[in-house]
Amino acid sequence: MSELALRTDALKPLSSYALRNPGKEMRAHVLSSAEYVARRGRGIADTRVAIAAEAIQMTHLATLAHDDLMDESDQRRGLPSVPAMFGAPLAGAGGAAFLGHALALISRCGPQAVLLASEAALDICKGQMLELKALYDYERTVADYMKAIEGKTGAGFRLAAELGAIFGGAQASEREALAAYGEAIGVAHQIIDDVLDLTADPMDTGKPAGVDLRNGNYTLPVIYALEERSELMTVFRNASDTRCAIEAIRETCAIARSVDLATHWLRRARSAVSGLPVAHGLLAIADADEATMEKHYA
Amino acid sequence: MRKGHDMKGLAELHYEAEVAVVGGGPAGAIAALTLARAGHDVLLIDKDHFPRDKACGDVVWHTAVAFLESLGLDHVLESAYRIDGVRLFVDWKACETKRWRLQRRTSQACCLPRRHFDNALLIAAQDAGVRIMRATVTELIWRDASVAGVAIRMDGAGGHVRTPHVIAADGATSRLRRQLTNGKRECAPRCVGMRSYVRTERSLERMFNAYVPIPECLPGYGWLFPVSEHLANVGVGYGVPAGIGSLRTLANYFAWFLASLEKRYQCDVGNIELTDRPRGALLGIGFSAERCELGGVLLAGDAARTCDPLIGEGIDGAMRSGHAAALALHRRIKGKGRGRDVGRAIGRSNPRLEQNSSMSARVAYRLLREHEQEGYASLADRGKRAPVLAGILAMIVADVGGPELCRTPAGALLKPPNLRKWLRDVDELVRDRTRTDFGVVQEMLLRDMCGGLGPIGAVVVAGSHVACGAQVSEEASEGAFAVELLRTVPKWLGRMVPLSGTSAAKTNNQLATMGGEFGLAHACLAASRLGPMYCTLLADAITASGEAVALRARDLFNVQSEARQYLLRASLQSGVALALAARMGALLAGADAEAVEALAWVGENLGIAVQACEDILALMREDPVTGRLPRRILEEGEFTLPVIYALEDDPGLAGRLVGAKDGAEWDALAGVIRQSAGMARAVAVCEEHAARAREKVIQAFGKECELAVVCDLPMECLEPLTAKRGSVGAKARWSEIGGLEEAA
Repeated sequence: MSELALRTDALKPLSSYALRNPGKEMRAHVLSSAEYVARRGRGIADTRVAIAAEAIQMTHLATLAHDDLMDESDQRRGLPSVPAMFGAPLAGAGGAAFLGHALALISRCGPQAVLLASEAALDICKGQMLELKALYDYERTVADYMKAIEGKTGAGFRLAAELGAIFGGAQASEREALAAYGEAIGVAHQIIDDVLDLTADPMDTGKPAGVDLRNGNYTLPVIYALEERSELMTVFRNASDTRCAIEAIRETCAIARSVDLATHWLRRARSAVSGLPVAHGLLAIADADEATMEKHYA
Repeated sequence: MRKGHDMKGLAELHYEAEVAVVGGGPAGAIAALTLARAGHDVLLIDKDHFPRDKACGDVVWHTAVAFLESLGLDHVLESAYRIDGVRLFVDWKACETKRWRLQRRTSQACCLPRRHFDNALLIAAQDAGVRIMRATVTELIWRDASVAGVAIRMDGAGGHVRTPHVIAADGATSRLRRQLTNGKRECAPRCVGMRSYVRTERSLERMFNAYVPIPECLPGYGWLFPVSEHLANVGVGYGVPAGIGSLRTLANYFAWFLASLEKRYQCDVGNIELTDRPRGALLGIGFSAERCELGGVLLAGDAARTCDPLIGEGIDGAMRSGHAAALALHRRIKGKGRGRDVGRAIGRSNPRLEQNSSMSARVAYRLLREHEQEGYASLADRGKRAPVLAGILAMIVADVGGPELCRTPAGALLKPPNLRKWLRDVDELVRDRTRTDFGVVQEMLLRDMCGGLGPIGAVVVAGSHVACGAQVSEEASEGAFAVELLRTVPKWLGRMVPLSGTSAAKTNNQLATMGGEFGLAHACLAASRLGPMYCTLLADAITASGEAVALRARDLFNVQSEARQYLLRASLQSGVALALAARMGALLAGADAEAVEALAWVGENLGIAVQACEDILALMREDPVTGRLPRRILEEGEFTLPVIYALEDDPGLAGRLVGAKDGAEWDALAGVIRQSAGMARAVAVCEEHAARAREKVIQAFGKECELAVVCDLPMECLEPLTAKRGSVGAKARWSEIGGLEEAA
């Protein structure tokens, strides 16, 4: 990815540190695969694909910096997180600078793209607000959770898929299908992420287990567990004993139910694009998500 | 106007009225009075004999006093007990005291028991020609899907009032509201309160005392409000989480509060003695602009849920909503429109009333709770300071009602009617779009925009737009919206504190990040509506703001920071933002490249002047809109230009700045800096940049260009504080332009 155009050296170390650890670039994959589908595998990719992919990843980097700041997570993909490395005030500033850079990139992709991206940014922000609002809320419902993650993660993936559709010159119906795919895969992705937070080996995820739980962010498995056994509330209230809380959740059907729901959303994602030709790239992304889930949920 | 009775029984009573107002509290009384003054025949129906007691904190907030004065009803408050300020206690320690400066205020808050207040209002209504009837309204009577009257019971007899217009002001447990919503349970947040009167041994200070948090950390507070020298209204009020709602729980909390108060304040107030039975009540919170009119019936007061969810104040909201409902009805009866904007008019009077705003109360009280857990005294520790929290605290006790873009120094520059209306549209745009479930985010955002000089970005957009010969348009307001939102971003991100593992710091950072992202996303969306070119410009400004925030963070508590660094930061933060504003205004007006660049240069310099001016003002006085105190700037380690110069002149100050421990010391330091030569030097720098900008405006657009007036603003705002020259009369030119346009 390209370096930011900065006027001073205040954020240079931070930006090069964050750019060195870009992650799996899932959203960029969704974008380029969607564009491939939209042009039916013919011709060559639109030049805007690369620019928009970079913009989307840049936005993602910004939200990661801000997420780690809000969760006070020390680690991200096995390395110290941006706020742990540079402090909260700089992480906040860095996130803003990344967003600025992302906007500069996406504004080169045409009025439609920039409007879509801005709308998505606001949806992401609103989803994040819903999550913040629900912190430590034992009465958080599955519907509340879904609404929050549809914004927080769904909107970003949806944007990636929709931009791909536009750049590839998709028809309205195809664009709709791809957008639905994006949203579904995003939601599934988030659910899986939330399940992994409780079940996966910290060595694999690169961050300690139960971070969300400790932060009072009651994700899907926790909501299911509380539905089943409301007395678990007392266990969750005692934030210091995360391991005990995770054990308690694993004794319920919460994880299995969450996995079911994730599978359901993956199915929705697949069926959205199943009628489209050359959708194998998109299907492969869904398969990869499913594989990750299966690996950690035995 | 009794019309006789039918043969079946003397019990059937029939009345007629043009308007029936149900409920004789402040909302009903004001609604009835307003309508009667407008020449309508009004019948006010209340179930009680007046004077009657009512569970309430008895606070007549200064905004309510101002409102009564505006209606010529100040005599209602003749026997009220004047109050000088607010004191906020966290964990029983006084943490925030605010004495209102009376020379600046025309209206002073007071305390008056509802027994007297409601009665006096009702008498005023009667004097205005309102007929008052003591009866219980049992239900609405419908004919062909519209209201035809209300059924009443009076002394055991049934009857009805025939009327085409009904205003329901029958309180938080409104029977009419329930009927209008078909008895469906509304998902409104609930808030309860209980109070009694106590006699104190020693005399009470004229202060509103609020104690947070109350037991179990419920979102709410306990209070002691003096109603006379030795008599106080004491109570508790809180939002009800699911599960704890019974009146007994409320009574328990009240008893606990009273006992704790007695124990802790033995030395302050002496023995206290309960003089009255405690009374509980439901508060009308959970306002929704869309639910101020149901089935053709206008709602007012607690029935419309107009209680302020953050502080629980209800009288002001009730009276204003009664007034708004009455005006809307009057317009409707006269056939002047449908008066659909009742809800919005009420919402404007207090931004906290916005939808789901009880959330703000929850957040605020959760913050306060965490605040307490960390220990207030230790907040002076750098790592634990929580500027968002301090902001919310300041906001709770701040001295103003709803902030408005028009009522700020910058807003006042736009005098011509069309520009004024344009700015009001921008204000509306901000309110509409930033409405969130997080009331506290919107309120801080609005206050950030209205604090300091106010929406100078919007004014520059308009100024450069007009300078380039265009009329302000919707596109210009979109641009202004983007710039103003951008300008809030560094303020939010600047509230970030280092990670310290404490929950106050964490919550603080969460809200700061949230607010910053929210501002950015909105700015991007507004710019993208204008087109990619504007996005590119905005993108550059966003990156610059990020850098400004980073530089600020790097320079915190740096006693060796230099003026050069400060100016760089000011130019990245405000210079770039105002250059963007000027560019946007010019480009939207279709100006040529030369004009655009000239204006951008003006914006850049004006931005630095504005930043310097706002930083100077922040050290000179408490901000009237955000309630931010001068010492906070020093406490948070932000050494602005006057501080930097003062440090240059007197290196001995450095030790004191870093080592200060408590509020008094910070206050004293702020005083030292105010008096220092550094302050004068900072003012000179501000003036230099402002003058440069003005010269360029005059050179490029001629003497008559209104942007020159905008360039004078920083110095004009500093004038009363520095007693220096300014350009008197410059403001008048805006109004001349307005006059010309009207003539055309």
